[in-house]
Amino acid sequence: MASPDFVLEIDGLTKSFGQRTVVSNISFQVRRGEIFGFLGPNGSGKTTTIRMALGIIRPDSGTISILGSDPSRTVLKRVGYLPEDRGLLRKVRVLDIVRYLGRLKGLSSSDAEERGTELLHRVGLFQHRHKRVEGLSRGMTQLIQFISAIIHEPEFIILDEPFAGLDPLNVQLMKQMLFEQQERGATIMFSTHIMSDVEELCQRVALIADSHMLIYGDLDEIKRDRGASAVRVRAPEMPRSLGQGRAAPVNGIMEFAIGDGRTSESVLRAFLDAGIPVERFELLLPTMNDVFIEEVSRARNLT
Amino acid sequence: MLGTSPETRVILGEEFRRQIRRRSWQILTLLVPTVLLIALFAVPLIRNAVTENDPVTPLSRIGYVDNAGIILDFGLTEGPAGYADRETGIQAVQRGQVEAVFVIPQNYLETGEVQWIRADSGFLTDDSLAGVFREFLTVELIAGLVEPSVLERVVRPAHFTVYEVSEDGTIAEEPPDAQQAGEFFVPFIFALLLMIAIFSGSGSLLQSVADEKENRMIEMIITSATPLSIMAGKVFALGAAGLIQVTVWVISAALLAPLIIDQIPDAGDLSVGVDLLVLVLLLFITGYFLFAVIMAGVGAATTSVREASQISAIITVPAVVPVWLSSLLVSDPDGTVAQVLSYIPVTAPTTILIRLSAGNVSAAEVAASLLVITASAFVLLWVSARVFRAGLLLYGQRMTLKNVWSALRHAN
Repeated sequence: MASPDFVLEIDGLTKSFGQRTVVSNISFQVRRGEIFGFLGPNGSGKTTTIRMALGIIRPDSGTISILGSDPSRTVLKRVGYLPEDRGLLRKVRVLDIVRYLGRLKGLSSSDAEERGTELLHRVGLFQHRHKRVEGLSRGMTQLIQFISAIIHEPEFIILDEPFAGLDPLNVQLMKQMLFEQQERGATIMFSTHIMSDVEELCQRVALIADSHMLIYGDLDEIKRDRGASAVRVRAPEMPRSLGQGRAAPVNGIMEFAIGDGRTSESVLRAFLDAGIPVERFELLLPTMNDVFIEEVSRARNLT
Repeated sequence: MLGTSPETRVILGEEFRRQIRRRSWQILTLLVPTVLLIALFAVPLIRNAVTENDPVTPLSRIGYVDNAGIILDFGLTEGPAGYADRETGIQAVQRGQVEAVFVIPQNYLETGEVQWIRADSGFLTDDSLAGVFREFLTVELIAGLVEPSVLERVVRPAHFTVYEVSEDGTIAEEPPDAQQAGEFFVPFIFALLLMIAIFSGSGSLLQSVADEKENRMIEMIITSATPLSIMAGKVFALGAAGLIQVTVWVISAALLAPLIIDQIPDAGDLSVGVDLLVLVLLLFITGYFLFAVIMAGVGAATTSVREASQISAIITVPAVVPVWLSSLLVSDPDGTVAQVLSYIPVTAPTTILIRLSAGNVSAAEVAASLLVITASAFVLLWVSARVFRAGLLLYGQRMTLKNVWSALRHAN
C-alpha cells in the first residue's frame, strides 16, 4: 500500500539484460520533500533503477510506486526527469525545445514559453533563446535540459548525474535551484558518485554497487553508525608517543586517524600520560567519501 | 484515439513546424509553382523568339526550278522562289536565300522524280519542307481542273474524330490531345513527385526518430507520451506537411497550367477529370503516409542515424521499382506485373499512379490497392510503436529480429 509520505517506493527491484543482472533486489523509499541521494560507482545499476522507476524499462521483478501509483504517463506528468545521457535535437532552437518539452508535460504553449523564458533568464541563457542547440556548449545544453525537467514545477524531480560535465559555477547555480525547488515543495532524488555533492545536499541516501544495495538511510545516522574515523585534539603540544614522524601542530590542533589498533581512548590516554593538558577533544565522523570507498571496496572484495 | 491524445497533438504540432521549416521541404513545395510560373513567362517568350527568328512562311523557305512547265505564276509574294536553272537554285541555297530547292525535270509527269537540293546540316534536316513542296505541287497540278472546295479536300482530305471501343463495349470519343497529355502526365508526374517527396520527407522523419533515440532526448519525451502517441504525432505531422505540399502543387497546376496551354498554339484545352485528380491525391497521401510509417519504424529499430540511413536506402528501393518498370507498366497496364505490384503496399502507390497514366484502372482495383496501402500503414504504425518501445527496453543491445519479435509480443 503506497504511503502519502513517500513519493517513490521501490521494493525488491530486479532487472537482467540477457545473462547479466544489472539490478538485484533493490528496495528503498524517497520521502516527500527531501533531497535524496542515490549513490553508487559507475555501472552499479543507478540509471537502470531510475529508468525502471520512470517506467522507461520494465523490471523483471519487484514493485514500484511513484507518487502513489504505477509509473503511468498521467503520474509522470508530475515528475521532472533529467537523464544521464544528455542530448537535445541539434537543429532546434533553444526556446522551441524548452517550450516543446514543457507542453509535453501539460503546460499550455504560452505558459511553457513564459516559464521557459523565466528559467532561461535564471540560468543566464536568455540571450541564446533563438540559437540552435548545436551552437551551444555541452554545459549550456545540460542547463537547458535541466530547466526543461523543472519547467512544469513537478512534485518529484529525478536527476541522473546532474552535475557531471558542469563547471563549478554552473554546479553551484544548479544546487541553488535545487534548494529553491525543495523550498517550493518538490522532492528531489539525484544519482551521483561525487560524495561532496551528497554531503552538501542530501538528507538521506541509498548506496548501491554491482547491482546490490549496500547502505540506505539517513546520512548522519549512517556516519554515526560507523563511529569516529578520527579525533581532533587541541593541546599545547603533541605527546611523543603519537608524534613520531609527524609535523608540529598548527595552532595546537591535531587530528589522529582511528584504526590499526588506535582508538579514541588510546589517543586521549597518550595525552594524559604525557601530562599535556587537553583543551578540546572531538570525535570526527567519517565523510561520505570514506563510507563510499569502504563500503564499495568491502562489497567488491566479498564478491 | 491516436489523434485526440494531447501529447500526439503537441508532437504533431512540433514535428509539423520542424518539417515546414526544413529548406528541402520548402524548395520541393515551391518547385512546382516555380517551374509553372517560369513556363508561363517562358512560353510566350520562346514562341515570340521562334516567330521572330523565322518570320518567313514555309513556302518562302523553298525554291524550285520548273523544267516541266507545270507551275503557274500566281504572283504570290509569299510563294516559293522560282529559279531559271539548277545552278542558280544551288547558289540560292548556298547563299541561304532558301533552305531547299526542288528541281522538277522535264519528264516529271511521267516519272514523278524531283531533285531535292538542300544545305548539308547533318542530322538536323527539316523534312517538313518536302511536305510543303508536295502540297504546293498538288495545288499547282490541279488548281485549274477542280472547284476550290474540292481542291481543299484534295490537299487536306480528312479531319479525324476517333472513337474508342473499350473492353466492356462502351464507345467513347477519343479525348483531345491536350486532355490525353494531361491524363498521361498528371499521374506520371505525381508518381515521380511522390518518390521525391518520399525520399525527402520520410527521410527527415527517419532522421528525427533516430536523432531523438541517438541523443537520448527520447528519454525525456517517453516519460510524457506513449510510443504510439510519439509515432502517430511524427507520422501525421509528416502527412500534414505532405498534404500541404501536394495542395500547393495541385492549386498552382490548376491555376497556371491552363494559362500556359493557352499560350501554345493548337494545344487545345488541358483538362484533367476531377475523379482522376482525386485518385491521384488519395494515392499520393496514402503512399506518403505508408512510407512515413516505414521510416519511423526503421528509425525506431536502429541505434544510430547512420545505420537508419543505410537501411532506409534499401527500403525506399521498392518505391522506385515501378518507375524503373514504367515502360512495361505503360505498355501493359493490366499485365501480371502491373497487377502484382498494385497489391504490394510499398510498390502500390507508384504502380497505380503509373497505370493511371497509361489508361483506365478499374475502380475496384484502385479501391483494393488504396485499402492495402492504408491498412498496411496503420498496421506498420502499430508495429513501429512497439519496435520503438522495444528499442527503449533493449538498452545497450543491438536490435535483432528475435529482439523485435519478442518486443512485439511483450511491449506495451
